Amino acid sequence: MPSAAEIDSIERLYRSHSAALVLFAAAITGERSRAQDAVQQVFLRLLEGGGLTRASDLQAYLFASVRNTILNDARARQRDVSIEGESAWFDPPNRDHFAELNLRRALAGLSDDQRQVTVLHVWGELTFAQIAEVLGISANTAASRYRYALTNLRAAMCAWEEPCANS
Amino acid sequence: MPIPDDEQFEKYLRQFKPLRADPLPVPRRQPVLARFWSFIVPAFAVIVLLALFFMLRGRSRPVIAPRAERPAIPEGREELAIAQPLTLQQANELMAHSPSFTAALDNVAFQRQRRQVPQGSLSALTALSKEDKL
Repeated sequence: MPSAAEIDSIERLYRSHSAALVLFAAAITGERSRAQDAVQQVFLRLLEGGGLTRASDLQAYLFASVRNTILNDARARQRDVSIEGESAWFDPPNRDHFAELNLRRALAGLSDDQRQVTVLHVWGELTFAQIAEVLGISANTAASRYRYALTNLRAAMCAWEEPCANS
Repeated sequence: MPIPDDEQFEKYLRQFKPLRADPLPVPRRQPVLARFWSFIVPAFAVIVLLALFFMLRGRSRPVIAPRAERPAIPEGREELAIAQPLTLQQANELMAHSPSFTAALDNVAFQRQRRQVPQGSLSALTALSKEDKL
């Protein structure tokens, strides 16, 4: 059991990263509830074992842990991401819930690899080197996947107009 | 329809904030005082139970006075042998005080522990031996 100070630091870490971690987990599983469970599992393991000190890059370590937790669950491997009936993932600007649904649809339309890279870079605020560490690929591959993902995402969202009409 | 460049599109995407996660169910540590009492109370209960057990056990076992401390048996009273476990110490004492090995065995069998028969009463053994004489 970690000390009170360690528990506090883990809680702070959870407060600052949990939203992006849950989004990343939801991008893999397609279910926010399962995403939430996976993230909590990771943090509860940290609280039990105090494994924070081993990680050199804490942020990358957390995203990698969440991904591994989900992939270790056999159900996740056989499941396609579907956002139908799924609750919101984002708090949209100007409470534009149509745009939120539009973004989720566009994300769901990406391949798993592209969706994960996009979420890690845009909302996880990870560099391509960190993304490479999380996904076990090279930084160049991560950057390349991101460029393709962004193009596909923009095309999908522009079909529903909003981001394109602003320019 | 003009499409914004990647940088602008990224900015647009970042305006969508991921929803907050549910709070983490953190197992809280008990305060030091609470931990102290949660340890002390069961420990004290165990000690009290052990003490009670040994007290009751000590009461139920008959106390055998050493040979030297036994009170002298007044005349007119007889003793009856009762079956009691013989300790090694008692056996050694009997051997030391007896003139022969046979006498020591007799002591073990008949005289080691005795119960006094109240004055005016006879033991069954004495009564039977008197009837024989008659």
